[in-house]
Amino acid sequence: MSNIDRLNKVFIEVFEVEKNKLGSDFSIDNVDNWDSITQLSLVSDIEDEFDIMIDSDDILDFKSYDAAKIIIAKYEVNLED
Amino acid sequence: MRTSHYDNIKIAGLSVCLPEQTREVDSYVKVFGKENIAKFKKMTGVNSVSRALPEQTASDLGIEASKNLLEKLDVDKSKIKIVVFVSQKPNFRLPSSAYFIHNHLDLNSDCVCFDINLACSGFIYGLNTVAGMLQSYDIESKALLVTADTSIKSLAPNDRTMSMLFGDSGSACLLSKTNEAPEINFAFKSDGYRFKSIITPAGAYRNMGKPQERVKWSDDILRSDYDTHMKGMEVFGFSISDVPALAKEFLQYLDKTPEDYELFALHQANKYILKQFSRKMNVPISKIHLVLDRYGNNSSNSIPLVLADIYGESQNDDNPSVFMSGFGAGLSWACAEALINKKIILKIVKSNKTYE
Repeated sequence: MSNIDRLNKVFIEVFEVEKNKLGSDFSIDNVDNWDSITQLSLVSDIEDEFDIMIDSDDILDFKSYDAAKIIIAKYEVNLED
Repeated sequence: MRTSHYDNIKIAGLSVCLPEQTREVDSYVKVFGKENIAKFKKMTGVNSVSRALPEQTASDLGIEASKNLLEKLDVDKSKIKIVVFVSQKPNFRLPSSAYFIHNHLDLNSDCVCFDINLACSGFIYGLNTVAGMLQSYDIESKALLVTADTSIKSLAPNDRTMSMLFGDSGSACLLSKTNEAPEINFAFKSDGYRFKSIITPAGAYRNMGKPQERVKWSDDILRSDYDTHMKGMEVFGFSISDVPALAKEFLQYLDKTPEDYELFALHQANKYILKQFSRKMNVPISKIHLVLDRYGNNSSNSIPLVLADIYGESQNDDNPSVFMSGFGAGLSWACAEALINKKIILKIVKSNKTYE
């Protein structure tokens, strides 16, 4: 499974959404159940999936699908392959 | 960072009282759905919470813990010169619940009583306040620090970030002025600019006459201004940034490292926050004892509950070095370090007794 598929899988499971909903407008402002519990579940599952440890500033910035892609790229997770 | 230091105050007893019942997080499935429950449990680590009866108050739990302590440790009550009660859930607007406790413990009037309105940092604030006051008292004078909360009483029932998280309990800690005692060190920080981060807006005198009826907030949760509200991500950010930063600064100030402590008795905010503390401080997770899995986040009573859970059944006379940290509403955060004798920490008791 490619890294982008792995990331999508986490989003789909945490937010219980279809893959086609994941895009640039998938964010804290547009997603109903995006609260602190969901955001931390998301970060925690991404950490487990990619075996990385995300810094606290980055955890707080996890506010959209696009932001997630930018943040995890900083942890040497290549989303292009 | 404000610091203080004492070398003539002994932690001479600790007792914790839980209500007799707990509520399983799984029992909320009908309200919040299976998926949400699974996510909540995984992230917070909470499987069940200790739950007071509707008629049972924080003072009731504090009195039960105090009575157990006075009896089991055979304390001369005439030596108790101070009763400080730390709680967010007093019995009355007036007087301080410390007077209610003073009454039911049958203490004499040669005593100072008052309440402190603090939440999750409250045990450490209370210890420091009492230790500071005892400085001017005679040797062998004793003080009772009672911390207790029944957080459920101000939580909106369909607030899934709060109602399954908080547990109820009370504790009593006996402090004694002595000629010589192991050092106790404290560090504190406060930030009133973030006073709205955790708040119960109505019920006192700023927001009088607010409607009791719950209405939908922007997060789709029904609340009134009488319910306690927490800005989840803001408080999470505080907990994983400001709190370890103070702990690091405090250790530097003491010229110590995490290896110097046997136990980290931390406020039981949620498991993910404790995991972050462990990572940032390089503290093995095995040194951070958990009680939140069984009892939830117990506000000012989290630290006593951790101590009683881990050492309460030990007959051992050891004095482990304990690092403590409490953090929450205010915003307020504090650390302390002390050697605490295992033998003076009593086995947890359970009670649903109420007092008139």
